Amino acid sequence: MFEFRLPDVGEGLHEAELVEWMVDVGSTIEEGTIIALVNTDKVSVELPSPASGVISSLPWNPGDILRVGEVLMVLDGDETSSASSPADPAPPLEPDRPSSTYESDPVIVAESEASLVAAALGRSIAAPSTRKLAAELGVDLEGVRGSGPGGRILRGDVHTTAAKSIRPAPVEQLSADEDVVREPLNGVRRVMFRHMTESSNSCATTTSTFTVRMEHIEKLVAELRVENSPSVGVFAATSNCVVQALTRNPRFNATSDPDSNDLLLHRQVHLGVAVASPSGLVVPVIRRAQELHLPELGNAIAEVAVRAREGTLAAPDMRGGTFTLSSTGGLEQARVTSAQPLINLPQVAILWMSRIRDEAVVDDGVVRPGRMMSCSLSFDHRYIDGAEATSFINNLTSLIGHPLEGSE
Amino acid sequence: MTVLQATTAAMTRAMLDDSAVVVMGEDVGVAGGIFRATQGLQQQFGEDRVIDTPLDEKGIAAHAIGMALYGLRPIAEIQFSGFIHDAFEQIMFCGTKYRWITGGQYTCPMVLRAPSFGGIKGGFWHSQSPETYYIHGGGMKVVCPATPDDAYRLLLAAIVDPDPVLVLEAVPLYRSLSGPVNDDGVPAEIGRAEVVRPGDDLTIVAYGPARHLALRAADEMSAREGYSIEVIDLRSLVPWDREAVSASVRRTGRLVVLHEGSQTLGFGSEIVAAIQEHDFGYLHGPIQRIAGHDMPYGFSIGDEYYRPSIERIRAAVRRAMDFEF
Amino acid sequence: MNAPKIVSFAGAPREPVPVPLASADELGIEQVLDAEGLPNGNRPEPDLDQATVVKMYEVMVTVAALDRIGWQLQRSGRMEFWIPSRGQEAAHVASTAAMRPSDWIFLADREPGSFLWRGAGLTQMFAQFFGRADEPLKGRRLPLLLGDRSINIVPCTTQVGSYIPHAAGAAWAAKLRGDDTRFIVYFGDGATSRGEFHSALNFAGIHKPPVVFFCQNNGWAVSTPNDRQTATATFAEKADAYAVRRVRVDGNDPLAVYAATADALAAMPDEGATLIEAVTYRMGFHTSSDNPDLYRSGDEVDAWARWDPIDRTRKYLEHKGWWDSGREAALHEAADGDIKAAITAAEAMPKPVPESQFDDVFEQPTWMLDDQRDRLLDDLSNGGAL
Repeated sequence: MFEFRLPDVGEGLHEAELVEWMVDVGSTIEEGTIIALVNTDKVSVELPSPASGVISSLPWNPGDILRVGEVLMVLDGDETSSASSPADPAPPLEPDRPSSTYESDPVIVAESEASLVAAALGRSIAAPSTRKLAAELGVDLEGVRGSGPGGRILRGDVHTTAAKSIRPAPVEQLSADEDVVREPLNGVRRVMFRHMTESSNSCATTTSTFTVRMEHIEKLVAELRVENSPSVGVFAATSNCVVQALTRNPRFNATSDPDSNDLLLHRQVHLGVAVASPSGLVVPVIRRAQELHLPELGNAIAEVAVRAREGTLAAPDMRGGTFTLSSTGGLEQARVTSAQPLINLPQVAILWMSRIRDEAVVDDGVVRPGRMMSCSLSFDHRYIDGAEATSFINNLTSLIGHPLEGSE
Repeated sequence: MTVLQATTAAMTRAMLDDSAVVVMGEDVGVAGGIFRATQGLQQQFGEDRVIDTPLDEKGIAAHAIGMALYGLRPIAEIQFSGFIHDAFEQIMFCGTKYRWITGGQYTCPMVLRAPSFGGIKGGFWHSQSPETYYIHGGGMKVVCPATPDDAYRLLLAAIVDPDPVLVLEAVPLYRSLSGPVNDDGVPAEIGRAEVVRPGDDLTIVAYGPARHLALRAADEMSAREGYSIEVIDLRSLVPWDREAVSASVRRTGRLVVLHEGSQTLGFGSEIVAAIQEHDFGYLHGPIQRIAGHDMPYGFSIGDEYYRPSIERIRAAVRRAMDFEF
Repeated sequence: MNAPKIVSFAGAPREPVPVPLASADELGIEQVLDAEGLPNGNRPEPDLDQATVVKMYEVMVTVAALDRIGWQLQRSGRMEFWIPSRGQEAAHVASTAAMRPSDWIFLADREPGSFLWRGAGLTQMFAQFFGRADEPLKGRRLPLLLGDRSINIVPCTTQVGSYIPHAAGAAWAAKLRGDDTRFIVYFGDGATSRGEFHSALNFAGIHKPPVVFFCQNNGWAVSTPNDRQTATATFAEKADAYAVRRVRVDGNDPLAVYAATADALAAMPDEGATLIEAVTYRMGFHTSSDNPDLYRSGDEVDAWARWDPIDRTRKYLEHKGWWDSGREAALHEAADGDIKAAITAAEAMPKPVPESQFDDVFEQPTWMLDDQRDRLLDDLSNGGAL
């Protein structure tokens, strides 16, 4: 008998929603057969079976939320036919603790045994003061992944879990009747719910709104279209300016460390671009954007847009962003002149851009039509002050006014 | 004064203030005690009040009990705490029980002074930490002064206490430790600890000579490793100042308990049990114990590997500080 | 198959030892009365008035009635434990009679007569036997381990002989204070083997405290006869090793006991302590948990019955014209009646409450005791029902 437990498919995942089964109970499958489609954190993941055999149990229904480690599928069959199958997901070891210390340090051995014992007993290992903290924050230690030695749950783990979990005040339950349709909080919507809650609870979100003249961008784009670079649209050209502005204002290209609250400044610009997908707004990340020439950037943006529409983005595509760019320009019809975008944790800033509008501007004392775009820059005032924000805005405005191809 | 001089001064003061106070023991009169703690007392107060007894610890304790029943306040000196055990039944089943078994009618306000602890190359019989035997079962108060002022005031407190009190005197400190003592006859309060050194990261609780070692370790580690270590000298064991230890642990979250007496069922066990029960949610990690071992007090050439040492304290502090929570 | 042979072994009932009281002169035992209660012994009658001797007799008879009835209570399950004193009435009553009320008595466990002599009521005594709360020892001691400070009687610290030096130390303290308080401490033959006996006599020889060491040699320490307890012919002579005055006396002769005690008191200023060995006999069991048939013969008990202290005293009273059968009948009736009334009253008294055990450990309880008490009361309240 072989139990296929839900693996962590994307760096620290702990649950996924079953979208659909690709097999049936009783089917004979080979190692590698795709057995299910699951939604994890805004991406869909196909799960291949690590073993061959006859399916004896598929104990979930589409729509169910599974935790990593829970049994997804049970196979009957020759045990030897299961190849190097993943064992139960183990608690993460300290990445910088070399294995040789296991033999030499009896304390660590004891603690790893403790974590195994704890797992067997279903009880978590945490210091008394950490337990007290958990109780005070309303965090259930079961299911908290401990990042301490031997899987011990540390204060930071409790704080992180507290930030993620929602404890709404009890509200009056509306009676279920035909006038009320329940929309379960699943999949992408669930993720958005969590992220927005976390963001609004932790960041000191401050927004500055400004307008930029887009004539030069449009001229550049037109020139490039002539040169057969159709992929470089206004959005790509503007993104390029944002990337360069980030290299000039590195504190905007940063993420916060949840344990220490330190600011981590990134040398690479991993630009998250908000794009539409069938399941909602997603933010794939274009990695090392500062290294890309404008056409490359344009291609990258085009590609993620296509994949988002097709719902084929993978979990790694969504991770590691250092700044987020969001444009509702394509959807707008009204004259939306400002927004207050929420910051995409653990980043510290996000830029929203409107559509380009014809508006009256004053050039050299003369009123004439201009091509205007509204921008709203939200930044985390816990890290960034008004002067820095103004500097960034000034740089960005200048770059947009004089867009350069490629990077410096 | 040295610790020894403070001890003598306390007895002198008590004998002047109250004619019921008498001193008895082997070699305490003419010779002034083998440590000279009672030096001059017989000359000052006479043979009737400073009594050289036969070589019979059981007899010393038993007669002291009888005297106390009648209304005297005898101070019985046991030459070394290792010699006290012949009197164990008299002490723990007679002296400490008279009040209870007589329904409160007969009481036993006696003091037993017992030179204790190690660090003197005294071998098995002359280096002992017997406190646990004389705590278990109840009825005895126990004090363990580690400074001249404490030696003076805790002995005074023992003498005026209406119940039996065992004073564990620190032999290695008798002459080696000096300090200011105001001979004002004011007793200490039995049951109050002293926060010798304030700190925020970790609490060390000690008593007897170990207090000084704890202080040294705390100072060194604070300078070298930046730990802010609080040191508490319990000063008495029955009753002990749980409130002081608890208040400290609730701030620091880390506790190291330190004593010379052997580990199993040593007084540290009581502290650990009481603190984990009383302050569990404040603990960042396991409470550390550093104690003597379950055997006699070390080699004839020295007992450094028996008694808590600076290395063991450092290791325990590091264990406590390194424990992630 | 042959029936198993009974082999003689050390624990078997032994041959009876002749009653030493019959050879008082040869054995150096001070004696006033002969077996018939007539003053024909080697000591003259002490100077005692009728009232005192009559009171001694009345108390002795009450002690015997108490012993008989108490034994029945234990055997019928109404009392936990009993320590018989039958046969030893004269030894403790007469010696107590020689002391003044301000003198301290350190009791052992076979001296209920000392309590009665000093005016403690039977109800109070039965309250102690039944372990009730409202008696001086607050229900904390086994039956017959009596004590009451208001009559200067200290209850024993149970362990045989452990309190002998307490009495000596208290006497020493009184002497140091210059008080004229005198002391008597009761113990048995077995106690003389314990270290405390040695310590007390050794210190007493040096410091001469005003204490009577009263050894009731009743022939047996549980199952151990005298000649297995010590190799000396007497217990009195043990005082010689410590240069302490000593005397051997007929313990079943109240007049001899009284006189010996009075002599010891008189000798105190010059000679300090005296060891009195009162030769008597334990007519009953060691305690209600004993079985003397294992180790002694009924013949020995019968021999000692001839020297019964109550019979001898009554005969002496009759000889003096101080007693008659009418008074005898009245005394027995009164004793039984008073005892039964006391039993009824005492059994109705309340038992100690759990929290009372935390009192009197120290003058003021420590927080440690308070914690334990509070927890106990909480648990009794919360853990009660399932």
